[in-house]
Amino acid sequence: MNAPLLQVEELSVRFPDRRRRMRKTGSLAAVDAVSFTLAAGETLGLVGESGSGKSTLVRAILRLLPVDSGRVLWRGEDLLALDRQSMRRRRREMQIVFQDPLASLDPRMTVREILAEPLRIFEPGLDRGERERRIAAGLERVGLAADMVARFPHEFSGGQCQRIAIARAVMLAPKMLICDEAVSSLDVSIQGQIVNLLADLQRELGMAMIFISHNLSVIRHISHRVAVLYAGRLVEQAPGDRLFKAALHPYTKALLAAEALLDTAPRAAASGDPLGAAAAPRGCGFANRCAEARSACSLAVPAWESATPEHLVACHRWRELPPRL
Amino acid sequence: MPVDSADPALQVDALSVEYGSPADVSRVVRDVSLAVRRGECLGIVGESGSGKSQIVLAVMGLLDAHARTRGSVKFRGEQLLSATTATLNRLRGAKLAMIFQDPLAALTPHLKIGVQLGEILVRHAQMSWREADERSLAMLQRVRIADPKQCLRQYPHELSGGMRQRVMIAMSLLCEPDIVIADEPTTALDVTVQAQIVDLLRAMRQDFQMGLVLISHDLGLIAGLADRIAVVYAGRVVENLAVADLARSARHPYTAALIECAPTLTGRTQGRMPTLPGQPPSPETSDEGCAFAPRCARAQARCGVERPALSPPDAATQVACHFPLSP
Repeated sequence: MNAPLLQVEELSVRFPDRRRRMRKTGSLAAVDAVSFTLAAGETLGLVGESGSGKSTLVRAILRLLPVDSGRVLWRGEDLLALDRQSMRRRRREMQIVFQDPLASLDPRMTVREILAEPLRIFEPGLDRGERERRIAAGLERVGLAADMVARFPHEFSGGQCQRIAIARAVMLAPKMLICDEAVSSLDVSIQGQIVNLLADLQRELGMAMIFISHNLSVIRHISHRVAVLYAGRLVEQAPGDRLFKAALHPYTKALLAAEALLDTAPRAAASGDPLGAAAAPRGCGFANRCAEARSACSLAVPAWESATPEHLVACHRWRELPPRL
Repeated sequence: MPVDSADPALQVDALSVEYGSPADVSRVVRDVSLAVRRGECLGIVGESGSGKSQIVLAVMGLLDAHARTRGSVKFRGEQLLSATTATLNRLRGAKLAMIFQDPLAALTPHLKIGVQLGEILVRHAQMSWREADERSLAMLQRVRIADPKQCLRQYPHELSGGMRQRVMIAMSLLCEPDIVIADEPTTALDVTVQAQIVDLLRAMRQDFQMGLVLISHDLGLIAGLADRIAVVYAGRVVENLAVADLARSARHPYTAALIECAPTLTGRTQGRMPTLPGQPPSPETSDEGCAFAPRCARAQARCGVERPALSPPDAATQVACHFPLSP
């Protein structure tokens, strides 16, 4: 098999901690030694609660945030070692769609200007007629009428704004699209439309996707593989159908149980509050909320172990615990 | 004044809320009627812009000054729509309480939790501060805050999102209210914490026997807590039904679509998500015909011109549709 499109190795992002500045540990890890790979055309679902470091992780991959340590290999080339100009050239291959579409579109730009921007920067040689054709095609591709180009973002609904943001992101046919809670602020009836649109575009353009969501049900629909992030660390990764049928990590199980609880009958959910990266202890980050934790769990960070070649779990006790069926 | 449990504690009749000039009017709530008794939970479900929050803001007297209202909102027999601020202040926070979506925004940032809870009791229950502190402490225990003593001394920003929402719930229950309105109480929370708050609300319903009005876009949440559901679309109630009937006998095509679209962990595996075509309606939509008709697979010519009324009148289970699904 070819080298993966994206290979993240032991990536850490630290932020200075004002409260602990005077001590030796002057920083806290928002992302702590995260490793995963993404193959061309594949969708990786990234799940985690607020503060788990999902957004920090993808921003670090795109170099929108300074990285503390680790490597980000893009088609074999270390992105973190690139100078600004070379990095800029790579950016057309990797795009991101944010949660709040209205906030990520410039309110003073028309749809035409918004969609022309990537073309102006990366394909400056296009003549005007060709650019207009590309813009119209871009709009139609996301299910909007080409005659909407002269309108401003505020004239559209939330779902339509997200379509515009997606049109902008795929204007240059990127190899990877990152969706950071791209459907979370949309109504239920619109969420499905956008998820299906993304799935269609992925097939059409052959893009890889990292799909971030706190909603497991949405992740389940779109992802080939799923990675679960807790307190800045990945705790489990597995093919989608396997994760939802045989989760191994107690945190993944708790997440699934909580969603099922909101679906139907009461069942035990995780107690306590989600742990922000700030509080990440030395051992397993989930130990203080985990019903299965033993004293050993807070002593060492659990290493990746393979349940199957594709199903990885970072838990000291996974072998002793039944999978969630 | 004890309330006869047969009489609804909260009764909303033909409520309408409008904004804007007559030429350019936004009708955000249209002819809505609801009733909630003590001990029961009414869920109001609808998407953003459907008017569900405007209904409760009208009940609480918290609408924007430019809003125009018609109809009637009675709380324990007392008309609230025309009530003075003094009357509203006597009821609000005491017998008629509210839990907001974002507890950080709803709590005062510069006052300790103990002060914020205590002042409700001092003001509404004429307690001394010493009594109020004791009562607040007991209430924080009942909403399962791990260290209630410390919590009383903390500021809102020192608490996690889940703890803040517990404090909001404690606050709403301090004066043993007849009605608590919870507007998207779990939307801002993480999913594991959401489940805890749902559990807590369920337990508090048992303990306090208040009438609970639960507003959400999330049918799953409502189904887990409510007894009855009012489905709101474009400012109107389009269906009233019992939660038990939700899965089997929803009759309005919009309700059915909401159930179909809700992503779940069970059932269908990977693949396309079910969708509802089109866009949510805008508040400028005219009142001719059924507002859902443009997105409805069952719509016929009649739906575009004649607005369906909720029928049968005065029944517990009602649907506003010319061509409802068979139950």
